[in-house]
Amino acid sequence: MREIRKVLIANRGEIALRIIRACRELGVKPVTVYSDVDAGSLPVRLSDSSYALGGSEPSESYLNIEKIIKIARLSGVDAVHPGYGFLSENPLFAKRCEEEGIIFIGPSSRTLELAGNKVECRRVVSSAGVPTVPGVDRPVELEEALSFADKVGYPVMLKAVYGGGGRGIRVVNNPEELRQAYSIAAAEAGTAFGRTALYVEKIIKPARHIEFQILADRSGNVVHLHERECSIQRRFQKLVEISPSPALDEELRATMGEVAVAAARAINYMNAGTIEFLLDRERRLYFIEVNARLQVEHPVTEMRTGIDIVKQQILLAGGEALPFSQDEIRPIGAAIECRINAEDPLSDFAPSTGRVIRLHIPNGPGVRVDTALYEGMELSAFYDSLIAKLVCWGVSFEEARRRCLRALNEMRIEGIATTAPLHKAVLEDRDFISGNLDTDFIERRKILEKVKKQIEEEKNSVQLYAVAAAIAYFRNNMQRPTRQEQTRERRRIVGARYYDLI
Amino acid sequence: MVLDIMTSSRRINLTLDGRRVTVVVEESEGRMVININDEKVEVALVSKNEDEIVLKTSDGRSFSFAVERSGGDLITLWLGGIAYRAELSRPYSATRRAAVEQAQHGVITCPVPGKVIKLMVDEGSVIDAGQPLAVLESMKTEIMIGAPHKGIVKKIHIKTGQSVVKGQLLIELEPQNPNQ
Repeated sequence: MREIRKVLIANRGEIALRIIRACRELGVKPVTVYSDVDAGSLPVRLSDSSYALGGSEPSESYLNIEKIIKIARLSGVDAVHPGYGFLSENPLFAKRCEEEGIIFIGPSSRTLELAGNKVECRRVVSSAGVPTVPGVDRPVELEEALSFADKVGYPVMLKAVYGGGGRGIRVVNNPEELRQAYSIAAAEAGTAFGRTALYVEKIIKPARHIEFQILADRSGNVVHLHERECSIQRRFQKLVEISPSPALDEELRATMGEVAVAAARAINYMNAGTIEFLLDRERRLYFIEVNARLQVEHPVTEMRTGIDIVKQQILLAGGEALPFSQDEIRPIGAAIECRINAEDPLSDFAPSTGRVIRLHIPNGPGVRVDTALYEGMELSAFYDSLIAKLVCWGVSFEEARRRCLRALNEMRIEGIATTAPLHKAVLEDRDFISGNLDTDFIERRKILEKVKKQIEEEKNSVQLYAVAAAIAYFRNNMQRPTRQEQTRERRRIVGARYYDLI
Repeated sequence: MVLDIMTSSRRINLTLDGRRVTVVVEESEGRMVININDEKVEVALVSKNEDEIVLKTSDGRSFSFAVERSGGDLITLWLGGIAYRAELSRPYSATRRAAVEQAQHGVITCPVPGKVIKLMVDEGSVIDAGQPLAVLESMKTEIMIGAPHKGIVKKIHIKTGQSVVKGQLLIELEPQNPNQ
């Protein structure tokens, strides 16, 4: 047991700000690091001290283990919080912290190694009795992949062994596709994750993506904080998360919760993590993976349970026991999160960069926005495009849903394109309202077509007013042409011989 | 004959999101009536400063446009996450624009800041319209840069692994002579 008094936050943006807030409430000093482009960011401004990492590329900054360890030593922190993404699931980083006597706020490096090897983790939880998606139990070469796919039937998913988070996944529909895709997928895995190993799983379709939040202390006590349903995705990236899941009744919830806890115990899990499942049409559950870190969508659970997961992470890392038992965790109401990305839904989600020239963050009862945006902020291309999380709570799903819509309509982020119109379309969709979700939702409900139509209609109706505004602006702001331009224009009109017409 | 000295009416040529439009504007005492191809709206200007223009309609609706600072005759207005780009058309602008266009012919500039992760052609390569020339990575997304027209790669100004900014010169092309 060691009291944590000072924490280094090895991350940036909204999650760094989230961790700073938890630190402040615990009386813990937050220390931040920053890349060149983040020098003026909110986390830097709101932490006790801040250290430059030098450079802007992730490899030079937030992914640079030695730079971060050096700063952790220099600043005399007791612990490091890695946030999500970046080094949060990197066993080497966790190990370096352990070597330096710095507490890594998360599971042990051994657990990270196991959870990071997606196929080995499957095998371990499976032998503990957890049902898994039908798949191989070790990395496979092309021939083994083909024979497995023949056995279980196509389509199957080719997955990177060291992937996770929806990355490094390819769907193949027949043996020819598998033959073609295998070496490409291996090469991509090598580039993205450092290792080319692949494994194969059967595709469960239609399926609902349901995950359970876990908290575990150092003494082996494990609880779950109920579920989040994350079926609304595009290319395996989550867009909207909700809780509770309309697919679960009390019995299934209790069963899944127990299975989640069993999976966590099987890998000696500690601190906060998430166990991900798929639920098929027959309500059978299948383990997919362990997310051995704090997740983007953690506020959904916080809003329903009243438990501050990040504060718990810091306390548990310092050796505190879990302060509640499973029965004491009783979520109330419903919560919905919309991930607002700086992407243009009309241009195939091309990232938008630029300056946020106007910002109004919505507020009011049951509305929470996690963001590090500020008016005048310049968005760069170096990091992923999540710029804000809108999380709304309501006494019922319907109240949470309407609140989200109200907040989205109130919100203003001008100067860049965002995915806000996409979220509005999802929230207004009748299958969303009735809880009829699965991982094909976005395509099945033709959400992107609806968004395109809606934006075009809005553009058409506002255009004339934009013209009026432009004319009003130009009226007093018209630039007079320069003397040089006037002369050039006269010469052009008159030709070879020109007369000064003044 | 009564001359209405309170109303002034004029024609303004604008380019709106790339389309040329002629606007007839009637103004009186802070109210404007805008007419484009017989589509009319009437607005009152509520406030205007460098960053924002607020208009109100006669039925009480309010439009609060955020202004993105642009040079000279170009303005970008934002409302609801949608950009409306308006540019005044004036003879001087036309000359300037033509000169800029000429300089840009056969030149490919970077659309978004990012990093070059792949180059698919060499100097001297013969290319078709639409042929992929390079791949950029921006915000963890891959962006394909394609050839705007048929031609030959004249000069490559970038290399793989290089970070690039918006507007940066990437590749120069020589258009293929259509008579060849």
